[in-house]
Amino acid sequence: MNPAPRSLTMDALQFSGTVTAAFSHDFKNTLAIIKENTGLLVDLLAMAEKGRPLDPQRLATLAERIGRQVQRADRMTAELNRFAHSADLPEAQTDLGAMLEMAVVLSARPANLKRVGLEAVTAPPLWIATFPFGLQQLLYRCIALLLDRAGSGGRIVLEADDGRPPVALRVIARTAEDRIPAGETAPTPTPEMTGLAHALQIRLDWDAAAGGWRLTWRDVET
Amino acid sequence: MSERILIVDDETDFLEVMAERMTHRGVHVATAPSAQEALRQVEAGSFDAVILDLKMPEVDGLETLKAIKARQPEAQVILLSGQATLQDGIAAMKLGALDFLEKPADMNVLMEKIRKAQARKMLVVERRAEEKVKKIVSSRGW
Repeated sequence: MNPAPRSLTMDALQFSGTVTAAFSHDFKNTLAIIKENTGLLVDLLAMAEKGRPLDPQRLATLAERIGRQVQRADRMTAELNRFAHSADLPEAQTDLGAMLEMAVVLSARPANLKRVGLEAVTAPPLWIATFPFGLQQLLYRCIALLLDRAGSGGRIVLEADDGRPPVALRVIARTAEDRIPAGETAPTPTPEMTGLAHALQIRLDWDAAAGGWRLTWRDVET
Repeated sequence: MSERILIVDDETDFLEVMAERMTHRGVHVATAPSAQEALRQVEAGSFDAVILDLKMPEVDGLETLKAIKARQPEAQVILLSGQATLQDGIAAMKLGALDFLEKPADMNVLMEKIRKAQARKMLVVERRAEEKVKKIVSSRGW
């Protein structure tokens, strides 16, 4: 017996959990580097007290390392905040280019674990009324199904059409040799993906020639 | 006797600073930014402890732990992770990890674990040598 498909709410909760877990993992890594560098500073001060001179260049390197990690944490906080606010309104005027950039950030960890690059091709601003959180959820699922196809060293490209109706965007895989992954059947979208696409009034198609997904907004004027 | 350890983590800034802090404490440190490099170093040398990141690209910490144990059953591996879950901890211990610590870890705690790893490894190696000797003795009827 097939398990019952999860509800969209369950899928949204699971997506939120996955994204925040990835962010918290990176925060922990960042904090660990900051902690060890401040620990090293304490080590060096203790050695200085015993007569070993402090090297200013060494201190400058430590300050630079800590500063770099603070910037990283600051960037992550801003990204996580933007993601959290994507659920504020059930429909908002949204720039698709900014959405694609956020999708790259949210999928960075699973992509990195498989050594797959992510790239958002940003065009002039293309505004559309949609539920930003739901669109991120759908893009995340689309990317996830392409990671193994792109393979180690490959990349996934997210790009919007030229803006003429109907509005569409593509999520396509490229191998390490910059080729369309060959010889594979179309991936099957999960019931949650098709349900989500329907709720967002998006037609979700597999574009074999492009090697990826095509998301087309139904009856939407820009 | 000073400890020889291998630290495996894809965060190179973390590797650098940990290596420096451990070196100040008299530990001989080797580093590896990937599972592949870690396995190469494990095959080439012997370490008292391997400090292993759980989440790494391509081959994760648990897979790496399995591969290290297959090559050197006496290797003492301490998992270190920023995303530790109970399931990961249980899986790591079942695969023979010595311990499982969360990042950021306390340096004194980590040093204590490394000393424990060294002691345990010596014990395992001694036992193996004893068993080998016993086998030889019994096979020759001495």
